[in-house]
Amino acid sequence: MNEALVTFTVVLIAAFGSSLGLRYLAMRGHVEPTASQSVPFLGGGEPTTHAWSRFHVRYYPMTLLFVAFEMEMMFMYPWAVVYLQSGSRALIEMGMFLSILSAGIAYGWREGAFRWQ
Amino acid sequence: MAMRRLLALARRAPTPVFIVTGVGGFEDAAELRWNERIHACDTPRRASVLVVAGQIRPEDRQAVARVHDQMPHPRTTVWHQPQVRPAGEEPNQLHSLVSDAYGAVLADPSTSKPDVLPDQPPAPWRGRGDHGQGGEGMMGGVPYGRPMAMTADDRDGLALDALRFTVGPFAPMLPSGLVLAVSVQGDVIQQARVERPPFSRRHDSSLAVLHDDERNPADHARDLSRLCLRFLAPILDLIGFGPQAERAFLTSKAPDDALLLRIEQLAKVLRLSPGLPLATRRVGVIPSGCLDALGLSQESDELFDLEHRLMSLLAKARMLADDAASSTAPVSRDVRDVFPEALDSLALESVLPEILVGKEWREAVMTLAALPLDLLQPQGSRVRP
Repeated sequence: MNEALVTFTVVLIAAFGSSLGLRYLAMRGHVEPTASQSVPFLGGGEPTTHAWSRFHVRYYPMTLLFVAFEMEMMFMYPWAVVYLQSGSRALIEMGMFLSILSAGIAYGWREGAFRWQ
Repeated sequence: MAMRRLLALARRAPTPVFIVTGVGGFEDAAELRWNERIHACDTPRRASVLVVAGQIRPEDRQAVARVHDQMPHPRTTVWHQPQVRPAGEEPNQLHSLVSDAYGAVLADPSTSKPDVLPDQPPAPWRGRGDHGQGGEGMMGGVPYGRPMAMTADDRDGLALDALRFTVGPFAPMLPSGLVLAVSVQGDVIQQARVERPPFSRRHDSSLAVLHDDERNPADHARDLSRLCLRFLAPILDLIGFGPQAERAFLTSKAPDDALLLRIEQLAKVLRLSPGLPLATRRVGVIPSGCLDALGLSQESDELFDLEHRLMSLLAKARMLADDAASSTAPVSRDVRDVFPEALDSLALESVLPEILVGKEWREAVMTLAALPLDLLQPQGSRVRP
């Protein structure tokens, strides 16, 4: 156990040391970019606006809906496996579960969560 | 020792070059670009040699300086003035000049050219408050003196950030000399304005030959055919078909007796390519309102997309080579017949916004590349070499 620990430590130090050493060797010739080199290439022009812009997260409401109904499916998968053995009791329990969730569906439908526009 | 080995290897590799094309330099720039010893880069950050082929406007000098400063060290510059050569003479040795310059600066990196523009940092981050905080935009304030893109309604009723930028005179994907101020939302161009028109191509040596009325009709037809192919090459390169683009350029330099055969081979390759229709069908459509300004007439449902323009260009090249090779007297065709949509660089300002607005950036660039600018000779003048 001791030998393994020693070996592990040596290898770890060697790996870290070599990576840091390689980084040092590579960064020796590094020159700070000038003002012209720090801006995006625009064919010779200077940028007049900042390049950051926001993009709409259009998939967000779809993602929320997906996650909600995916959790419903997660309950249904093991239920499907034990359904035949458990008989009608399993059916009634799943029915209660689905009715609770369908209340959520009805609410979402009324609020327009399923409308794509 | 290892560095010398590396330098020797670097000198043997194709020279990374950024080509700036000016007035009269289009032919030489094209020759340089397709040379196998030269690697024409899309950005100066990957280049070591800046080649300025042709004459540039005084207002573009600062742009050239900025492009030069954006190249990493070691770097050098080659200024090439066009010389009108009679047709049939050996092409110039610009590529060897460029390679020698690259070798020289590699051997002695201290001769690398210094910066032209001053190394001034941009304006400090400034907001509205006393300590520079506050203001509109994502982070507040005006970062480095440049405003942020703010939300604006776009044509589909969405709200996206409208990013404004000006693509300078020497963007490799745009016609050389064109300064375009665009406002994009996402990737779609919402507004476009021409700040400076592209460089005129009237003084190209190849075009001088075309407008020479005393030329043999067969040679004239062959030259027009070669011009079609040389025009096809950069469009194919932009679409992403680099090898086919190089093939098109090499076909344009085929000897007279082999020209028709090579064109047919090229046409076969392009016809059998499965990717070309995918890349060009319904892409780069010129709206019908602009067709009159461009000198085009629309027949029924003909769609002026990129595929139509490429295939018609290829068909014209083939027809002209066929004319020249046929035993009967070849028909003398005007440049206007071959390129009915040739557009004056200066007239671009009125047509361009309508063509570009609504297109995605890449599609807009390909549409611009497919417009043959400034090939028409003004009435009553003759270009003399």
